[in-house]
Amino acid sequence: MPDWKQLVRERLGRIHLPADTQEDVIAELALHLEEVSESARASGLGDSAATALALKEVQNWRVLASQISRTRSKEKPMNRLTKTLWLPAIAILFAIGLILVFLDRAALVQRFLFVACAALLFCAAATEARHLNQRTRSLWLPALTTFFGASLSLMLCQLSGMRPHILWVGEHAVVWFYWPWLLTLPIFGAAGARLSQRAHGPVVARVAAGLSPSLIMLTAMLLILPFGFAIDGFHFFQLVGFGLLLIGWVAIPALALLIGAAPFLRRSEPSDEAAAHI
Amino acid sequence: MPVTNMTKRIRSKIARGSGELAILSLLAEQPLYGFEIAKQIGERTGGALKFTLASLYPLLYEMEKRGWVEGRWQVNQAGRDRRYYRLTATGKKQLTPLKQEWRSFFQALDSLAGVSHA
Repeated sequence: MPDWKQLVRERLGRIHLPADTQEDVIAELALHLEEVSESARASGLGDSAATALALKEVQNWRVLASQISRTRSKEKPMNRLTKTLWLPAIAILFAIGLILVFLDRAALVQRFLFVACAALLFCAAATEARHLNQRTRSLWLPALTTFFGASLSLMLCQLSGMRPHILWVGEHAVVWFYWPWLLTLPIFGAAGARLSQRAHGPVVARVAAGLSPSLIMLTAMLLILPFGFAIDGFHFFQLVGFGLLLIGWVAIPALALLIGAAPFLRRSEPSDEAAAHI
Repeated sequence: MPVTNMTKRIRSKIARGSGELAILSLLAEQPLYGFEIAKQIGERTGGALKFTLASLYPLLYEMEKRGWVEGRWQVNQAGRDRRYYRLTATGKKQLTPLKQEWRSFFQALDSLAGVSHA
């Protein structure tokens, strides 16, 4: 007789459910298969035939696992307000903003649209807070908070007419940054990491949430780099310039964000981890 | 004649709808656990409706999510732990319109093609 529980656990593979619900499902399905097999043996079948008959109850375990993940998950469909108001509004404002960026028109309106999109995104998140899954609560939402906070702060620095601090080597500007902006970054790093910690996010999620502006900037720069080489051809100075941009817009801001995030990177107590699954 | 995707979808919806009605009707009589539900549906419909593990539990969990049924671990007569499902108040409210829907469906088919459900 097979170990039905082990068999179900192996065949179902990874189902996206809290550990206790997952165990519940495995136990229930295993008992069902056991009973099918027992019933077959009671009607005169041999052990192996009874086991084979029980296994015929499921043709595709992967499909079953996906159906169970969906139906046993406590996540509810999107709120009507989010579907009919927040998301369409975000899409419209974002599209208008994008058109203005491409046309290189109305810089002030572009900035206003950016802030409005951020505000609407938070409205949507607040509306959906009860329905958000663990990853969204512990990673995406905190990361967005940090990113929008840092972006807003940079925008305000630029709008207020502040001049960037420029480091020169000889006649060449090498790194430029806004001191006041850098000074605000620890606050946003702390906010992202704290939100992630509060949602019982693992340390990796807290670091990613706290450093999201730098990580997003790094990704964007790495994506743009090949296009630069493709258009202008490869030059050593381009690579040096890219490295300096990395220092000014990724490494130094990351350090500032990390200073803020650091107090919230301590590993959670085991009870906290368990509570995350309730 | 080949079975089109549309035909498959219609069949699937009919099977799903009939499954819901069968489960709600059974649980209206008494709380049952998964294997018993499948067994009784098979026996009482003469094998016309047959549930396997793969078709039963996603439907049961879906109905539980909608609040029509509630599952709870209990010890059965043989002294073994089983997850028993019972009908909730919401589930009871669903049963009457669902029965009516199926009655109308069969009447419509009967008048069209002479297919009687009796």
